[in-house]
Amino acid sequence: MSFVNIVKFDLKNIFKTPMLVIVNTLEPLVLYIILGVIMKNKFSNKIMSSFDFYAVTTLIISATMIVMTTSNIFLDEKVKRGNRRVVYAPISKGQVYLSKLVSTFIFAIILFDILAFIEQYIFKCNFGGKNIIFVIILIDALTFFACSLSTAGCCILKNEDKVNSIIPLITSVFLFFSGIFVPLGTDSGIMKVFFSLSPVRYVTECSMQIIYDNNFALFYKTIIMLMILSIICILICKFTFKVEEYVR
Amino acid sequence: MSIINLLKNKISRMRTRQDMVVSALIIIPIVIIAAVSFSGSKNSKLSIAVVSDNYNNIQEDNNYKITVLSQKLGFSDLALGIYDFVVKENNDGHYTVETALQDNVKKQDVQKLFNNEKISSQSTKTESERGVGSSLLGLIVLFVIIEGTTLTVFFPNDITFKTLKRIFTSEVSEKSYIIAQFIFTFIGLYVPTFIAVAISKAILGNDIGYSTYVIALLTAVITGLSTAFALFMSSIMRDNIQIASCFIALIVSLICGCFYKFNSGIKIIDSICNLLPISSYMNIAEGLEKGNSLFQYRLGFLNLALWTIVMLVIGVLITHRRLKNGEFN
Repeated sequence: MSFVNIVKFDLKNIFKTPMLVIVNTLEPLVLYIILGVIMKNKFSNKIMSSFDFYAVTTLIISATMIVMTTSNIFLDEKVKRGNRRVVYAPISKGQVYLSKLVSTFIFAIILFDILAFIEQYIFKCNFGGKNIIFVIILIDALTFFACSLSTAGCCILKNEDKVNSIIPLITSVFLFFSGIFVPLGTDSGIMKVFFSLSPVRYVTECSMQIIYDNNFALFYKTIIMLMILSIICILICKFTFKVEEYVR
Repeated sequence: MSIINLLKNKISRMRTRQDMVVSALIIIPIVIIAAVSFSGSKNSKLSIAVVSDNYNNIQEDNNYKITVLSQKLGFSDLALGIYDFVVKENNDGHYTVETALQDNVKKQDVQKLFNNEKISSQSTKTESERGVGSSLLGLIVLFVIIEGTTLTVFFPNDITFKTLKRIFTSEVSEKSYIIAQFIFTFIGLYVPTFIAVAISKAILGNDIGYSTYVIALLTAVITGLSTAFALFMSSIMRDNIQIASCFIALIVSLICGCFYKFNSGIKIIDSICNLLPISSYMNIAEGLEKGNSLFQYRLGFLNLALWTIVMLVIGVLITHRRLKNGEFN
């Protein structure tokens, strides 16, 4: 019961920070519009316009970049003051970091899911029609992975600025090799290795297959892979999170 | 004198913040790899998949890599860029070409190639092609701006931990504090960026169209601008500076055509874009690569200098006002 209370408290905290809400709603929308307009001429096919492509991919980008929100909620100086009390309350220490993870995840999926539905049904972008639910599940799984990656980073580095200078870098490398900016067909030896190492690549590939080919071959594999990666991150949290160091 | 002491203070604080050094060390190789692969992917052959059971007369062509497949391909392979074109044989022996990420001109070229028509020589090159050097600089712009806010982090840290109050109680003025922070961030940004571009020049050889002096000048201009931007953001925002500046940097560099040059065709939007400092910067970078003289771009340089100075002055003024209002107490 106390866990639910902490999550509720953290959720309130996120929604009260205007910058976080603005960035997570405006960023995908603005990026989607700008990229859609810029790349319009490059997409000559009638099946997929630039807006169709970037509606899905900007949501994937935002889901990956949620890492900065998690670090803010976990380690921001203002939030930390309240959190110190939570840390000293008689709860298991796992609840401290899990509550941050879960609250950012809930916050993110609420915003992203609403955006996805708006983009499909109001802006008429192609999220695969009825299959939109599977695309959303993919994006949510990616969000969960990004949240747990960032929480693990917070537990290891213990300082918001440090986390913000390292974790977004890792995720931007994932993004660069995700097939969104550089086409997957680019075949020089080292690029192929990078492409196969980026988890975001499988999400893009799988969602494109679902939307345009109705092909679910990668769906379960991708979800299971993301879940395993998230569990590894959470295990890292379990072993590295120390209350004494958080309070300091 | 106080500026030197402040700089010493910042350098000694770097010891507890190895992450800054690490992130700079990670960024440099990534940018180089990205730039090299980007320029490589531009020059590499376009890949074509031919879906046919009995396709014998494969035309060898230097511009394309042709693969013959017996199965039908899904559209997602095109959308992800695994193949650039898919060619299908119709019943009447005619070939139709499908593409997702390539423009119409290139599509028609492929169609003509397969239907044994003549390719008009002008249509193969689009006009908005950019040189390797300026696309490398375009990629670096975003990284430099984001890294700038990371290096300016001591300033907002001083505010949150009330160190700024102590510093200002001594003889240090706001101006010298901001100048010291400017010098610190500028050097911290300039040295790795310059080395990165110089190394990529060494890797790419003559492909990069700048001399070392021009590289020194161009990196100095962009680091100056992003330092001013980081200081500006740090003084106007209370928290979440990094998130906000990442957001602004990403959008501005997209609008200014750092990654992909474009014309919206709407006059108002284009003229607003031209006023932004990064589009002047990209214009200069492109022009210099083509071999134009520096003097030709004095207006662009003026624009960049104006933005840098205005952002710095606003930063100083706002810090002054916040100090007077007692926000740092």
